[in-house]
Amino acid sequence: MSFRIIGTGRAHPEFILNNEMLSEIVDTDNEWIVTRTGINTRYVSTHETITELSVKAAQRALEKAGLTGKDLDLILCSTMKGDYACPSLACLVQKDIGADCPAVDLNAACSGFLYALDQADAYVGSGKAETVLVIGAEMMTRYLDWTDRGTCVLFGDGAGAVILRKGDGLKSIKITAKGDDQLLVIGNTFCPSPYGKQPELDPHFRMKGGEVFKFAVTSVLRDVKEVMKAAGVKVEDVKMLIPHQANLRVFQAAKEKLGFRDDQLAMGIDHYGNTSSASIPLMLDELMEEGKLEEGDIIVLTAFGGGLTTGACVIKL
Amino acid sequence: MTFEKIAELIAESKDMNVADITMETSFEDMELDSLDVIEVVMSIEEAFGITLEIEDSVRTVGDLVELVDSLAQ
Repeated sequence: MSFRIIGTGRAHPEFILNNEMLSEIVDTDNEWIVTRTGINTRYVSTHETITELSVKAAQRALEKAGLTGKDLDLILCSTMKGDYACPSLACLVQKDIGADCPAVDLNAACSGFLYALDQADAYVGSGKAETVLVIGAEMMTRYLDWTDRGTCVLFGDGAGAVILRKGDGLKSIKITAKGDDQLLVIGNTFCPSPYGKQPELDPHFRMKGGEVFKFAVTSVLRDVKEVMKAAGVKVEDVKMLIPHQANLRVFQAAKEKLGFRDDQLAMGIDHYGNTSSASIPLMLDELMEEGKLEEGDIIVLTAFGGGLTTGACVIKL
Repeated sequence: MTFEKIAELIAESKDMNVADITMETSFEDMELDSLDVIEVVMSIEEAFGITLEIEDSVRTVGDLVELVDSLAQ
C-alpha cells in the first residue's frame, strides 16, 4: 500500500461544556448522559472558527513531521461544512500554512477521515502525490437542536490532522456507502430565490438512535473483520482499535464481539463527545502524544456515519 | 422453544439470571434501556436468522416471542 503517517496534530476550542451545564438547559442529568453515551465533557466553539482549528491542527502535524506547507503535494479536508461554502476549508488552510498545492474538501459525514485516507491512498499509490495533509474538522455544535436532549448532549467540536508520506504503513482500507435520508440527517439552509418553491429543510441534526446503533455495531463488526483479514493481522497483533468516537456503547458491543481487550480500545468520547470526522485524528494525535502509540504499532481505524457511509483500515505506524 | 432461547439470549447479553425472566417480564422490569433492547434484538436476529422491526408496542419478553414466532411461520 501507499503511505505511512509521519506527523499528527490536533486542536479544539477552549470552552468545556460539562453534563451539569447541559442539565440547566435541557431535561437531563449527568448519570443519564454518562450511562448511555460515555460522555462527560465536550469542547464547544465560542469564538474559534473551524478554519482556525484546522490550521492549528495542520501546523502541529507539520511540525511533528519536520515539514512546512511548501512540502505538501495535496490537502484533503474532511468536513461536513467549513466556515464558507466557498472557498473550501482546505483552500483556507492552504493559504494559512503557506502551502501551494491543490486543496479540496470532501464530505462523508463521520466516516470522512477514512474516505480522505482512501483518496490519499489513490493519489500516493498512483504517484500523483508524495506528501499529503489530511484533516478531519467539524463543528457539530452549529447543527444541534439545543432543546432536544437526545441529541444536543452528544457532540463536540475539534480538528485533527495527519501528514502522510509515500511508504508502506497502510496495510488495508475499505469504504462503503448506502444512500439513506432517514437515519442521520442535517438539512442545508439556502437563501430562497423569488422563484424557488422547494420545501425548507430542518437545519438541525436528527437521527433515529436505535437504528443508527444497529447500523453502527453491524458495520464496525463487518468492516474491522474485513480489513484485518485483508491485512493479515490478528486481534493480538493490534496495539489499538480506534473507532469513530460516537457512543461508548457502540464500541463496547463491537469490542466484545471482535475479542479486543479493554486496553486495546481507544477512548476519547468521555472528553470530546462525538466530533464526527475529527474524532479519529483527534484520538490518534492524543495517543501518540501520550506515548500510548509509537512507530511500528499496528492500529485499526473504523468509522460509520451519515450517508450512510462506513470505512475502516489497518495501518502500521 | 422460542421463549427459552430468547430468555437465554437476554440473560447472556445483560448478565441476568435466566430464572428471573418470564413471558410477562418487561424491558423496564429488566432495566433495559433503548440501546440494551437493540443489543438483545441483534442477538435474536443472529440466533434465529431473521430481521426484526421493533415497534414501541413491543415491551415484554412475551411480545418479543410473539414477534419472532410470527416471522418464523
